[in-house]
Formats: sequence, C-alpha cells, structure tokens
Amino acid sequence: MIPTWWPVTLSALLFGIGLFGLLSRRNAIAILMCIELMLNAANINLVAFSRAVTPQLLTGQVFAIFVMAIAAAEAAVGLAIVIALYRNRERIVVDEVDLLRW
Amino acid sequence: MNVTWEQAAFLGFGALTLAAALLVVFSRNLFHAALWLAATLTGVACIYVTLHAEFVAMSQMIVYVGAVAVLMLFAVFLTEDVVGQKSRRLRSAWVFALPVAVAVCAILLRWFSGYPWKPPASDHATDTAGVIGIAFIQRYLFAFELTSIILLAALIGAIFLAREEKA
Repeated sequence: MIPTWWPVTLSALLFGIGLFGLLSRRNAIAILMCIELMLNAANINLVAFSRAVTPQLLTGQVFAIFVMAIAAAEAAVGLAIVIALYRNRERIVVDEVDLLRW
Repeated sequence: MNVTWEQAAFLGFGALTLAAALLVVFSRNLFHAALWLAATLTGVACIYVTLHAEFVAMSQMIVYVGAVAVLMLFAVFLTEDVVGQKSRRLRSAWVFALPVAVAVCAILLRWFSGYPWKPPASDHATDTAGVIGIAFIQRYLFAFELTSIILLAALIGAIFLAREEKA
C-alpha cells in the first residue's frame, strides 16, 4: 500500500520542475511541454486523492480524464498558435515576440 | 521499514519520471526534449498503475504519449532550430525563475508534510473502466458532453490557426 503523501510529494516536485521550465525556457514549444508536466502533476494528485477519499466512486480519476481531454485541446490549440507564429515571424522564441509591447 | 513491490515500483517509476522531467526542461535539443516528455508521460502512466488507476493509465498512454507528445514532435519538425545550437535554451530570467519554482515547491511540500492525509482505502473499486464509464453517463453527463464540445471547438480552432493563408 502506497501512503497518500508519496504521490503528493512526487506531484509537488514535478510541478516545481514544470514551473521552472515554464518561466525559464525560451522556445514556445518547450513552454507548452512544461505546461503538460504541470498538468500531469495535478493529475497525479487527483488520482492519489481518488484512492483515499472516493475509492468506490473514483471521482478523482473521472476528473483526471477530464483534465487529460482539456490538456489535449490546449496542446492542439497552443501548437497551432506556435505554427502560425512561426509562419508569420520565422521565430518562436518568446522573448522576441514583442508585437504588442511598446 | 518493509518496502513492498508496489512501493518499490512507485519509487522507481517516480525517480524515472522526475529525471525525465528534468531532462525535458534542460535539453538543449528540442527534439530530445519532446522524446523525454514522452518518457515522463509514460512514467506518470506507470505511477497511475501503481496507484490502481488502470483506465487512467491507459488513457494517459493513448492521449498523452500517443497524441500530445507526437503533436509536440510534429511541431518541432515544422519549426526551425530543432538542434538548438543557434540560441540559448533558457531565458536570462532563469535566475529569478529558479527561486520562484523552488519556493513554490517548498511551500507545497511544507503544507503537505503537516497535513493528516487519509490513508488509501483498502476496498477500492477494481473495475475502474466500468465505474468511470458509468460516472460519465450518469453523474457527469453534462461535463462529459461539454468536454466533447470543447474538443470540437479546439479541433476547429487549431485547423483554422494552422491553416495556410491563401492570399
């Protein structure tokens, strides 16, 4: 039996790694990858709590599936934006996309 | 402390997941980062298996490893600078990002360590796919249908955004 705090700790560490990548990577695709890491950290928590709180209804697992669906939609739209950006500006480095900055 | 096979598997897959996640963040080559992302997502699927969430683990493999990671690979192919030799991988602001990430992580772990976690129930549902399927068509029917609308909207939006402009 795995105690509940193990997956929760793993999730916190994975979230921290994803957050660091999100704030520090320059490439837009790498930033989207780090967002996926953070969403996965949230999902690990949902599954861990599902086992402790609603072992028969599996509510946490149901919500993990919802998060997965939304994350897939987010990745599709995000990468479409990145490709449109590349087509227009030839760069996908976020520091250099300063069209709205003055 | 006696470590059961389940716990040993969790610790092993957890270490692999974290190592792969670090490599996603620090890979200079974006193609390698996408492959490490697939490895991380597979590790998380293994974690789900050790937590007795088989259906979520399979969904993770199909949706994340099969679709999202491959989508990332295609995006890497379609844009320049795959090898990453031309530019730095981290922004100069990473010196500020590191303390922020470490602080968030430390605060979360601090909270978590003091919290009286409920132990996992021993009588959890074994037929996870059945229970989740019934939840989708009964209790969460509205959310389920709403998710399908979001997916359709995202699909149309992604096609519209990525489409070639025929001027």
